Amino acid sequence: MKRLAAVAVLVAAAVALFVAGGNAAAEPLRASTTGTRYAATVLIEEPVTGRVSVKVVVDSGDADTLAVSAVMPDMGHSTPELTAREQRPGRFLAEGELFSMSGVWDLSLRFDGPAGEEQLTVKALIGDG
Amino acid sequence: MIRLLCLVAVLLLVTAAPAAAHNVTAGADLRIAQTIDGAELTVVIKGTSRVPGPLRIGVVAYEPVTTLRLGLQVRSVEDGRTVTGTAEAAPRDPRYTELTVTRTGPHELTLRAGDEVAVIPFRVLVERGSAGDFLIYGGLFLAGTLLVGGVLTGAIARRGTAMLLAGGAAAGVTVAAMVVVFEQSLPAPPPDGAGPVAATPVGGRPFAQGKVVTVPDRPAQGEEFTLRLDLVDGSTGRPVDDLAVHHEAIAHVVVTSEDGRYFRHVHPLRTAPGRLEVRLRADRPGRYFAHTEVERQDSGGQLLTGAFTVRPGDAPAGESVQAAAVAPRLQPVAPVAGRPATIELDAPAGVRPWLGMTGHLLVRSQDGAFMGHVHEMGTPGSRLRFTFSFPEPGRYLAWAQYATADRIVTAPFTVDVAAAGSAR
Repeated sequence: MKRLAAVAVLVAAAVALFVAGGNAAAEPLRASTTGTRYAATVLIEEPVTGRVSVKVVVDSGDADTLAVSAVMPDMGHSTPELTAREQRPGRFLAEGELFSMSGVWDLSLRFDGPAGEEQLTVKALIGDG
Repeated sequence: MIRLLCLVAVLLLVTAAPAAAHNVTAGADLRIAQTIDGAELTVVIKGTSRVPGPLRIGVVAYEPVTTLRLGLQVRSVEDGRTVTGTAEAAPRDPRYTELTVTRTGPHELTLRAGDEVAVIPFRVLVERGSAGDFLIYGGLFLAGTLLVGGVLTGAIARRGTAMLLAGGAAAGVTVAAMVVVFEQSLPAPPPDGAGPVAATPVGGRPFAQGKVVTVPDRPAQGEEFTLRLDLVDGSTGRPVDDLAVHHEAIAHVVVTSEDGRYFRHVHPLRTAPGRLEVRLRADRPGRYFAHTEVERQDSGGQLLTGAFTVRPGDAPAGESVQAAAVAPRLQPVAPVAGRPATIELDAPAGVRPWLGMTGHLLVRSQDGAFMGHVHEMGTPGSRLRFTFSFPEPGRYLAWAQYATADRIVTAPFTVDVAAAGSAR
């Protein structure tokens, strides 16, 4: 009976940990944003510090160029722009170091095209690389 | 051994995950004061409990309380879906306009009145069921199922299996019971649509620097002009576009003439990221101060100061302060620098809260280098009472403000503050 009670307590603790701690790992980022000229979806498979790959799908608007940069509002950190490569029409890829520490970052997308320039921002939760 | 296991389980439950902080609460009204089309209004956005669901927007008029129609547009920043409507400002119990939102997350409310436009960012949040509820009901369901299974298995004389099922039932009951006891300690799940939150809160963002200009550059006396405030992050150089709503506004701007005879407490419109604007008319030429209170998200408040000049003009004075003659009672009668002084004024019956408070006291040093904003703390009866420690000796210009049914009353007076030790 004692063993049974011990097992019951362990199961309780395991279930609680599973539910409460299930969101601890850094999950892939997928975020959409729309402005007046462009709309885009950002995909980062591994949103962590260090080198990252940022895929940007242009959902609407005719963007010729895209530059990606980041700001961490809590700390006042700012990173230089990465020029994204247009892999095929409407699909861009930016690679490089964007996030110097873990936390919440504002990822800025500066589009340019025939409609003019526009900067859109999405929030990104960055984990340790 | 069992006690030890119980203790470990309790500790794990209590410390399982860090608490998350949010700036917006689902179900709570968002109230934002706006000075638009010559009127002092408060826009009220009532949250929704589901999406797609109704987002109700109303506008309370404080001055003037005449009917004012505003254009409303709500846009989801994520998918760009836009809904529009109109709202009529009313002094009390406004008629709420219902707009349908189809998703949670970041949105923008665009307000239009006259030829002025404000864009207010906000998040639509919807509460989720808690992990605690899941564990309680899940545990009890498991226990019930296994107990039935155990009884049936016992009835057909399979003792080992029956014990196993009974053990499972005990586990289910234990989970449910422990969560009932410790649910208060479990972290609430973030609402749907909430922004990401760092595991370790930093606490405090860099300072915002404010540049104050007027458009036109040197407005004439009596001429309408725009007071513009551009906010820049001191660490990144980017526009500051993360102002928190504090005391029912994203910014409180107090504009006073150097001599103190002109006073306006207004709430500028966000016209672009990091840009706040309000239209004014100054009734006398000379130098003016603009003191702006802002608070960045997850940060403390800060005061930004600026000055501008109004040149003499042909136009007659366009407006004057709705001033009420007032004789405040001071305690002590001669306030001393650095020590709390109490200022009490009589107020008419029917004062209604404005910016979340019954009364506001703005205090400026004569040279404009200091500005204080004091709140009335709920004095019973027809009185407003403010307590403030004047930081230095000298003469202060003061304006007490409160809202009645039909206007915002401003009561100007001066306070002479003695140096500590001079009264001995």
